[in-house]
Amino acid sequence: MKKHCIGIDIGGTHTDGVLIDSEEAIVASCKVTTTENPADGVSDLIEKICRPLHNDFSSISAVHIGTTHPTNSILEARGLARVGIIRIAPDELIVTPGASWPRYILSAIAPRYVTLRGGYECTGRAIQVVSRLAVQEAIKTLLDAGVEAIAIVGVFSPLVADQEKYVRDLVHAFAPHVPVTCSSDIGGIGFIDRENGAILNASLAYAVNQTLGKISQHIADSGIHAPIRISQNDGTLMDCVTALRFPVRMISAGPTNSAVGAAHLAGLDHCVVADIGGTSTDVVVVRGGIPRKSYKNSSIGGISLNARMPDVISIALGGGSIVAAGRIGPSSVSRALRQKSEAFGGTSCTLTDCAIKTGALMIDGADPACVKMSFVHAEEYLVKAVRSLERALVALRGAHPIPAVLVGGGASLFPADLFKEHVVIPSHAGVANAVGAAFGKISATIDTVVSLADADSLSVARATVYEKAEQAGANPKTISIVDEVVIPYAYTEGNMARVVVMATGESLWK
Amino acid sequence: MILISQDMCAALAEGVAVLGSGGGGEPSLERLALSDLLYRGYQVRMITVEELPADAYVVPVACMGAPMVAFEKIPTISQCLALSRMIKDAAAGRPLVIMAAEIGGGNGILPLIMAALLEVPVLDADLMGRAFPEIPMVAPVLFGAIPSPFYMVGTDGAATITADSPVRIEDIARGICVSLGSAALVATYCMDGATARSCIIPGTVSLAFHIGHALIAARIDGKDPIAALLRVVKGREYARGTIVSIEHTLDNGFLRGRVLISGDADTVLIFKNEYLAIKSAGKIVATTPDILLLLDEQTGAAIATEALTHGIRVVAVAIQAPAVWRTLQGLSLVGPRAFGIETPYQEIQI
Repeated sequence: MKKHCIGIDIGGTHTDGVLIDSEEAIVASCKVTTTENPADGVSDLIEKICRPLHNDFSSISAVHIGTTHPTNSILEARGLARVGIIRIAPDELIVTPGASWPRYILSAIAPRYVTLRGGYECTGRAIQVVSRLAVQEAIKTLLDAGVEAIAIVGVFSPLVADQEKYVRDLVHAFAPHVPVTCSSDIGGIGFIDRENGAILNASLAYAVNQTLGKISQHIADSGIHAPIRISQNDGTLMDCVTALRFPVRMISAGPTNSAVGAAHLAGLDHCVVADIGGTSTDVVVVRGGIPRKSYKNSSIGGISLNARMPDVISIALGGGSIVAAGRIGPSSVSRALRQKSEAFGGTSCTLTDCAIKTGALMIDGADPACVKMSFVHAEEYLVKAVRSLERALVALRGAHPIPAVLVGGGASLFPADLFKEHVVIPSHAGVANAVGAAFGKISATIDTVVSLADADSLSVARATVYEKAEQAGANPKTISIVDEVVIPYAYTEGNMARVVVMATGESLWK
Repeated sequence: MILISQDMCAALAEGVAVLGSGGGGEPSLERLALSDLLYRGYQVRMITVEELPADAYVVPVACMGAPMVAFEKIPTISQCLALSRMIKDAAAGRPLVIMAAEIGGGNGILPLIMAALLEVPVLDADLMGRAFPEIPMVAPVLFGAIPSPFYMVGTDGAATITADSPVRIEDIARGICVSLGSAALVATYCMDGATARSCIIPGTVSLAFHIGHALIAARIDGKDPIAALLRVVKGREYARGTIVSIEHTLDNGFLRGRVLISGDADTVLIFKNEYLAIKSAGKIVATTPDILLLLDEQTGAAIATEALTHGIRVVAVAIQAPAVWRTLQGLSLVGPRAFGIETPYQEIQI
């Protein structure tokens, strides 16, 4: 019997879904408008894409979900918890937590912080032992100040995480209901950027818990009893429990999923992908089927992070971009296209109107005659939009041409012959991100300290991570090591080093 | 006297990165700290060398250690205060003025942070006019100064080093620095105001600001940032092209290597932490102590030797070094031969 997997992508504007079978065929796909509470749209979506199964859901063996909900929570400063920060450092640092953050996000998180004496040197030596009493006082101070979640950040914790874990255990014992994030689980060396990630992670705890909880409930209520996995920044999947602990690992899953999905749909391993949405377009380079990562530090909403994210260029150009006086965007009618744009009887002229006017695009209920602009002008705007898309594609891929793939709701606006180079608009381009979620791989990571003097230490670490990937549901035949980071401890004997190894493999749901 | 304002921070960071000549360490943390302190109500008063009282006690400061450590083990407020306590006896009641030992990189902003915390003025000057890798590579050495005593403060310990030669100070200080966790705040070449006036390099903090301001303004106006830079400094452009090859090795704590740029003609930059020479078509056309740079062609942002990336479009530029380095004495201390490059120094032809 064929098995099935559901892929869902919950974006700010649309929620997309696909149903794929074990031969990787797309059985059904669907796009609905994202609801005020993002979980509510999911039931409707599942009902639509599962129609071909005639109410027999027993063949569904996995549900893979990507969501930009945590990203939007940060950017809109909505539903963020008030965060208390426990720094473990030699003393008060010259920089306070949240320095240079956008004020509107900062005021939503209202960070309070306490500095505990402690931390490590780059050799792994403890600068000072953390006092239990001081920890208890710190927790009390923060809770009295009304914090709802706690982030713990210690100097050199990516090298030695013991003090962070000690403090975390005391928080669990003292205030079991308070979500805690340790910075060593979030990022590598670079205190401020890692702290930023830990604070954001802690602040997302409630919003993500609610959303994922509701989504799981809706899926169970639909009669689907399959494991739910969540897309993370690198395009691989994590289980729900991990996702609840580390929501910050989801914040760039959106562009990643559309890139992975686009490459899959186009059958290309190496390409540059433009995901054209309603308001903006994300451009990503795909190599070996996964998005190329940024070498510079990443950031979200003006907050710098040291997690490695896909290298994305975003431009303010989408189907809803308003065109006027020779300019395209940056303002957009966003999700109100069918109310506000001229072709639907509204008063705003958008790029979609231009495409309807020229006949490049036909939508039910849209009337080209309602678009006031002349045919010639409309085409000029489309060409102008194509030129700025091309600039973004070239800026990211470099001088050497590689195939370009256009996906997203706005991909159908642009006739391929307007482009100077060959572009591919694959079938199902509108739901590429849901396809990316569906085809996400299973990953496992270990993070340990070894002696590089011992020749076997790295191979032992690799073997362990293989085993973990298999346990997480990866097909053993497809598991491979995709990332290996060795951070040597400076100036110590025995060549001690922290080793982080990640393996991925295909999901076994088939 | 001027008050440093919040909106000067970004320009300062861009400018000190340019004056770092590829080294000096990325200034983002110092920029963040300065901006945070100003936001929290601290003040930074900057005075010119003309305004420097003759009886002031001038304290050049810097952060010493491994760059990776500096991003993790951020200086503490008490560390800054401890450094000022160490020099208290030597200051003997004279009013303190903080200054940069090295304007290039993060060390160009650190003195402003210290001045804010210690509530004393900072001097618009430094000892190098750029970044250099070693403690004795400073202008006062040309006038007979030695870096003794050398004050070092870690997070859980401090040391005062005295020795007769700059080279011995350097050796001892490196050893102690490792023991302090490879990150220490240091103060040295402390001197009175009258002495300082005759042997330091004036105006370098404002120069950094003007450079950064020009780059940022060009970016906003969509103008060529390199042309904007060359309007505020004496210098010239040597090549534009794409980085096609980078070779580097870690040599005794220094990042050594060469980078090849492919454009109209092939250009090579040789570096040891900082860029030391520009070679065009096999011939050396510019060398240290002039400030050699690779800038991002689009943004004009300086690209540090530790941040070189394949495939980016860059412009190679040389900025004329302060006059004191272009003397015979100056060149023997920081000219190409001091870095093992067997070539005579050539003046930039502007």
